[in-house]
This record gives sequence, structure tokens and C-alpha cells, in this order.
Amino acid sequence: VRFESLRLSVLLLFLLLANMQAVAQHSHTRVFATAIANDSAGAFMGASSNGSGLYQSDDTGSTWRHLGWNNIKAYSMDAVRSSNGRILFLATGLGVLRSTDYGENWKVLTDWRISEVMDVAVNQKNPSEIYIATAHGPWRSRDGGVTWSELVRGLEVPFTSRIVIDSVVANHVLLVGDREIYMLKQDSIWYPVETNDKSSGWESTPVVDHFSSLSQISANHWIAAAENSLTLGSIDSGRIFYADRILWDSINPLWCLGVSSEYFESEKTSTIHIPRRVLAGGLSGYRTYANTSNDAMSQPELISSVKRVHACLLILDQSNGADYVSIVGTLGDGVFRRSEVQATKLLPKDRSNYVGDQSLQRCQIWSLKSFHIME
Amino acid sequence: MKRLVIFFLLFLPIASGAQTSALKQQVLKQIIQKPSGPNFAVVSAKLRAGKDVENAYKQLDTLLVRPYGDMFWMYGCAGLYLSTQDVLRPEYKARIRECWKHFTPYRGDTENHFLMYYGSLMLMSEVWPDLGEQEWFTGQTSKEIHNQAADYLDHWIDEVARYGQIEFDSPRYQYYFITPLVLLAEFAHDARMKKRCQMMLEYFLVDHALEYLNGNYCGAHSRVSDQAAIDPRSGEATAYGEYFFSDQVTHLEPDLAFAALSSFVCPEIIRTIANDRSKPFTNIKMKRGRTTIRDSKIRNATIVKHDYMTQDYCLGSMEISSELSDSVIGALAQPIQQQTWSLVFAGEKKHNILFSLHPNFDARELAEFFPEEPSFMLERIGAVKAGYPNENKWVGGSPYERVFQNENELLAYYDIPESAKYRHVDLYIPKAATILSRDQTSAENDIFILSAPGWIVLKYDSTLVGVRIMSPYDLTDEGDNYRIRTKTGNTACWIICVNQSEMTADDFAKKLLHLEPVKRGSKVTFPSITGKSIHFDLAQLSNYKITETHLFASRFASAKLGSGILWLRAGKLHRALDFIHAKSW
Repeated sequence: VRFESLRLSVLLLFLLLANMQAVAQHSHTRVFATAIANDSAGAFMGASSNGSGLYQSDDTGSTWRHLGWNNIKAYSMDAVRSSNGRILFLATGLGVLRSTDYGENWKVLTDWRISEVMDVAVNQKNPSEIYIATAHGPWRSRDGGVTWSELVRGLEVPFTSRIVIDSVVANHVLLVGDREIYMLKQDSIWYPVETNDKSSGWESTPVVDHFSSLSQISANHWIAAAENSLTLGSIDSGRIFYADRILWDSINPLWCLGVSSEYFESEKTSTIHIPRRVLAGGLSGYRTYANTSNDAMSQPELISSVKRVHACLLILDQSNGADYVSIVGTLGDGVFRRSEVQATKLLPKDRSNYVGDQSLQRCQIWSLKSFHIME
Repeated sequence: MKRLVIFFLLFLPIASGAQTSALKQQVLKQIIQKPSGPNFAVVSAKLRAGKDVENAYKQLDTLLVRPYGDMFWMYGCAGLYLSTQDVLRPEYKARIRECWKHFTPYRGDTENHFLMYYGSLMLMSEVWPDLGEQEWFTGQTSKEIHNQAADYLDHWIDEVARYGQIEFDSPRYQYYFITPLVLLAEFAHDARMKKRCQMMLEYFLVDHALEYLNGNYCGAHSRVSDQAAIDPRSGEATAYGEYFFSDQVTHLEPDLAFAALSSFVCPEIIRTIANDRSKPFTNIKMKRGRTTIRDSKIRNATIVKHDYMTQDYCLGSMEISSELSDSVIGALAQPIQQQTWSLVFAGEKKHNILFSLHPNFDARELAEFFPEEPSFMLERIGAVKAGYPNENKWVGGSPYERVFQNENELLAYYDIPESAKYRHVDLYIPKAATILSRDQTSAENDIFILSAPGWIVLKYDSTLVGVRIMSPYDLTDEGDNYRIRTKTGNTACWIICVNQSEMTADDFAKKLLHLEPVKRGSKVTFPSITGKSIHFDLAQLSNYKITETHLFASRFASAKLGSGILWLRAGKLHRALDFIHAKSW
């Protein structure tokens, strides 16, 4: 009986593994690009333009299709991951839009009180809880977007541009203000997180010229960037951020970081961790850094043929020999991609390497996001 | 008996204005006859009049095939549908319905955008009151749309009636407030909303009337176009000014058709306020600055406008509150298109305006009001607002500018840091003015503030103007105007106006030469020829408080800040607009 039980257990385990493998084989990365404008005169700063909005790619950025409203200032988006791409939220100039049919139809969830929504974050453990960062301050809904509450207590200046819900620690939310990163405490009050600069040997508060990026890399590790080429890392779930400014010289202003969370394994210093691969982009172009050991970061060429890089994404393309694919979104020139392994061959030097449909070609891309889709 | 008379007077019907049936017909005829591209208001005029109908439907085809223009399309479409609904062909009604299902107009980000967007949604959700969320581009039901739109309009009316407008007194955008209000006042179903919108329309007309001078929209402007900045009668609002305040319209704009098709008539008291310039008066109005998002702790700056209105000229300006910790001395009401002060002459000639500005061109100005990347906005702003980066522009405010006014005297003070892109101040002088004397004795090394060069004395019709630039400058002839350009960034323009009936040009010039500013520590006094001096403290310019407590204060209009009640009086005429209780009398 024991033997049979063991056989059965082994069989079940085998079937489970086989099933997991089958699932793994039938999944892919879906990438979304949000465009605040098509690059025509008068097509931003309050106005909309045809060709702006949400774009989706299911082949790591090789081809794209437009979803929903074709003239909306789309800053960012999020998806309910458990819905497998069905439920999408779009952060736009006119508020938050939701689709429950993979982006075919959309409903405006917010009213006149909410505008210039720069980012949206769905609590994946409780998808009816949604946070948004707007140019006029953050808001939260706890009923799937039916009602919204303003969350401005603790903020000195209302402008907020990014909001990230901790994927591991419950009720842990970080918010990017203009010159501060905030942490939500007591359910509704924002407190500036501590920032520390030890680069000179002395502890001091780093000078931050507009925060531009915030990402959670792993359970405890976060990384942020500011426009003055400053990187700040946290190893305690974002409670203290330590500054490091050695990486991103010549990308000024620095607008985005794309990080490889899977390959986080190196420790730069005792206070800041650097992901194994980092893509840093900004006004003058972008670089992709590969970190092969604790102290040896590569020093790649600045790819300056693609300027005004505002959104970065690093994707591990398992269908192509575990190659890393860089996708960068520009302000005014649409989206570019390249394979990191074959980087020398696929460097985008001009529009001949442009990917995407015609309407995406001259878009001002504000953000790029990726999701794992099971088929 | 006296009480009885007053009681009787209160219930007299308000005298009808000039928007007689004849004027309306004349305006509609002019609009129909004037060649124009596809425009909802023009199509409406043609369909209502039964003139050029087939062409009108062709134009409507164009407007419906590829809807374009976001909220501008929305209010025009709503206006057409509502003002022609008894004659509009059913197939076009159906096509319009489809547009509101599939076209996804954008809401925009300004006060006029929001009024057009929510005003249109409210009206059209009343046309189709019971539709489900699949029938509207927003994915909401008719009821949801109506509730949100009404909520916004109520909120907006409350704010403007109590604390002032944000995109105030714009020779261009006033047009885009008046037209939606005309439509809401005419077609809103909800009785209270309809009444409040009628009152709001009157409020906007009062706002305009107080600064109306022979067709000119005078005073400081939150937003003005490049052309209207140097030619005050060229703005779109002139059309409504003429239509509501005068007996004929020479500046024709399409949306006048919606007003001419409506039943609204401007109360006589507002027409009197616009035209009675028999004696000079001061006018105070409070407004709000555009909502700031970065680099400012004040969400909406408090603004107080000053006008000194006479039958020959209007000197007008605005003061803006600030709470700054750095060396910036001023603040902005609106980005890019502000006109902080001006002297407008009543004469018929074009370019009848005098003003100064610092041509500010700065990512910080854009970042304060727009959420996009500041450096990118600075790079691309030329494509959106072509004149903004131009050092020779004639429109725009500056954070390095403070303006003080006391009736007919004004001081525009500038302290422009080395870091500014441009460090000069330009003064626009119309060629239509005659330069009577120009004391250009300024030495190259003269420095603001006490070592003053001399006065320029101008005459425009019967108005005498003394202009003193408090630093060395160059004067250039530019055809329609002279440009005075200062050679330093720390300077001031000192303006004093009188009418020739008050004193001769010689006497005026002699009196001017006796005037000298006095500086004691940080406190500065600029005397006037009438004894009413301008005082300010250089140490308090960065952190500038406004203590005015009246939303309106003049011999024609008064309202306490926050009260929501506007009182009007002009001779024997009286009127009150009580927005709190949605009543007027």
C-alpha cells in the first residue's frame, strides 16, 4: 500500500510538473505602452491628439496594436494580474478608465475632481483597492473605482507622478512626489522616506532634482532615480533610500530605469543594491548596464541616436534563447527595441529600426509596463 | 410712500436690452452670408433661417464624418442639435447620436475646457436621458453623466461666484465661456441649473462690462492671444461685447448665431455698466490663479485686479499673491499668455494699447502648471505656442515682475536675475500716440532706483501719458509701434495718465519733472501728481499677501468675497444675483 501510495504521489508530482511546464510553454510577456500624445503641434500640454492612448504588444515590442480611445493623454496603466490581461486600468489626463474586456471597451471611473492621473496601481492581493498618483495629489478607491478618496495629508506639494504598491508587504505603498518619496502610514498619511547620501564619506541628505522613477526589485529591494542622474536604493522595503551617483553620468536629465528583477544578485555597496541589468534612459539617450560582479558594472556606450527616452523596459525573452530585450519609449519618436545579445546588430540608429504601427511612430511615450499572460 | 415706491421699483420688469429681434436677424443674416468653413453655429443659423440648407447639411456632414476638436466640437454639436431640433433632419439626429457614442472627445485641462465638456454632456444627457453605458463614449449611463456634469457645473458656479474666475477676462476665452453659458441658459432642463447658468451668463457679462471701453476689453488678462495683446479689439470676446453692449456688430464670430437664436437678452443695467463712462471710476475685481502643481505651496494664487476707467482710457493691472522662499519677486496667474497690465485708449485706431513685459521663457513656468517633463515642454513649446520662446514677444507674465497701481498711476517693477534667459523689459508704445517729449538724458551707468533718467510724454487723442523707464533703454520703430527695451534687468516702468481737460501738456510735463521716487531702506514711494502715491516694500515682494475682501468693488458692482451675491447699480437701475439661492432680482 505504501509503495502504491508512493507511486501515486510520484505520478501526481510528475503530472503537476508536466502541467506547470505546459503552462510555462504557453505563456508570454504582454507589453503595454502609454502615449500622452502623437507628436503633432499642439498635441500635448492640455490637448489630445489622434494616435495617443494605449498600445499593446504580444511579441516583446516587435509589433503593436492600439486599444480603446485613440485620442487620450495616457500616462500609465495597470492590470489585475489574476484576470490574465482582461481587466485593465488606464491613467489618463481625464481620469481613470477601466476595461473588463481586454481593452476593447472602456468606462471612465472618475469625475471632474480627478485629472492628470500620472500613474495607477492596483493592489493585486485585493484588486478592488486602487491607488492613483495625479499631478494634483494621490487618491484611493476601495470599491473598484466607484468612489475615490483624496490622500494628500503629509504632502508639501501636490504633484505626484508614480505610485507603487509593495508586492510582498501588505499595506505598504510608496509614492513619488516632486522632490520626495513618501510612504503611506496610518492608512492615510504620507511620510517622506529617509534619504541618505554617504558618497562623500559623510551622511547627508542627497540633493534630488525631481524624482523620475521608482521600482520594486524584490521583496526588500527598491530602486529610485532622480533627474539629476541620482540613483537611490533601499534594502529595507523602501524605509531608507541611499544615494549612489556613479552610474548614470551623461544621461541628464535621467527619466527612467528599466531593471531586471530576476537577476538581482549583486551588492554594490553595503547600502545600495544594483540589479544585474539596468537600462537607464533620459533626454540624451540610453544605456544598458550589465552587472557581472559586485563591483564590475559594464560601461556601455550611450545610445544617443534614440533621444528623449522616457520609458524603459527590460524583458527576458524566453522564446529567444533567454535573451534580454530592451524596449524604450521616447517622447516624440515612439518605441524602439533591441536584443541585448545581438545589440551591435540591432542598434536603433534611426527610424529605419522603428517598430510599431504608423500611429505609434511619433508618439510621446510616457510609460511601458509588462505582464505575464497565460494562454 | 417712499418704501412703496422702492418696493414697486424692485418688481419692475428689467428693461430690455439691445438684442432686439431686428438685431438678432441682422446678426444671423451676416453670419449666413459670410463665407466660412464647416461650423456648427453657422450651420445652425442656416438651418433655422432655411437659407443655404443643402450647403449647410454638407458642412454638417463634414463635421460629423470625422469629429475633431474635442470639447470645442462637443459644445458646437450640442448647440446645433438643441437650437435646430425642430427642423434638423432625422437622419442627422441619428448620426449625431452615433457620434456621442463613438467619438471620444478629450476633456482638456483648463476652466473653459471643463465648462464646454461638462456643459455639453449635461445638455446631451438631457436629450437622451435614459441610455445605458454602451450608448455613451464615456462608458457611463445618461444618469451618471448628468449627475457628474451637474455636480461640476454647480461646483464651478459656486467657486466663481464666491472666489472669482481662473481664466479671467480673456479677450479670447471669454468667448468659450459665454457660448456654453448661452446654451445652458437656454436649453438646460433642470430649472435650478438653468437659472444659475442664466445668472452666470449675466455675471460674465458684468465682468466684461466693467472693463469695456468702446469695444475694447481693457485691464489685465489671464490669457490673451498674440494679436489681441497689441490690438485690444481683435479678440473673439469683442463680438459678444458688441452684441450685448452695443447696437451693432462689426466683429463677427460664428457663435453669435447661438446667442442670436436664443431668448437671452442682456439686462439694461449691464449695458449701462458697459457704456456709462461719464465720470472716471476705480474698479476692483478678485480672481484666482491657475492651479499650480509643482514648485508652489499656493494652489491658486489670490489675484486682485485694479482698473481706472475714464471715457478716454483705462489703466488696468493685477497683483498676484505669492509665498516664495527664493529670490523670485512675483508670481504668475497663468502660463504663457498673461497680460499683467495695460493702458488702453478709447480711440478707434488699431494698436491702441501701451504696456510692458519681461519676456519670460523658462521650464519652471511650464512645470508650475503642466505635468509633462519640463525640459521637453521647453523644447516643444514653440510648436504649441509659437511666440513663447521669442525674446520679442508681446504676451506673457513673469515671476520677476510686480505691478502696483493707484488709480491713474502705475508702477511695473522688475528684478530679473542673471539666470533668466532674457534680462530685458520691453514697453509697447502705439504709433498712434504722439511723442511730445522724450528726455533721453539717461546715462549708461544709471541704475534703478533713485537715479532716474527722464520722462517720455505721449498724447493719444485727449489722453496725456507720462512714461518713465527707470534704467537706460533703446527705442526702436517697429511700424505699428515703438519698442522700448531696457538695458538692465532691474528696472521699472512708471506710468501716469491724465486727460487734457485736467491740465495742458506743458503743465503735465512740468509736474512730472518734479516727481522723484523715494527709497528708505527697503521701502519705496513713487509720488503722483494727484498726491496719491504708490508705496511698496522691496523686502516683501517674494512673500506677497493680498488683503482685499471684495470680489467686486466699484460704483457699478459690489460683492463680498465668499458671499456669492453680486450687487449691481447704475443710476436708478439695480440688480442682484444671488447664486447661493439661485435668485436674481
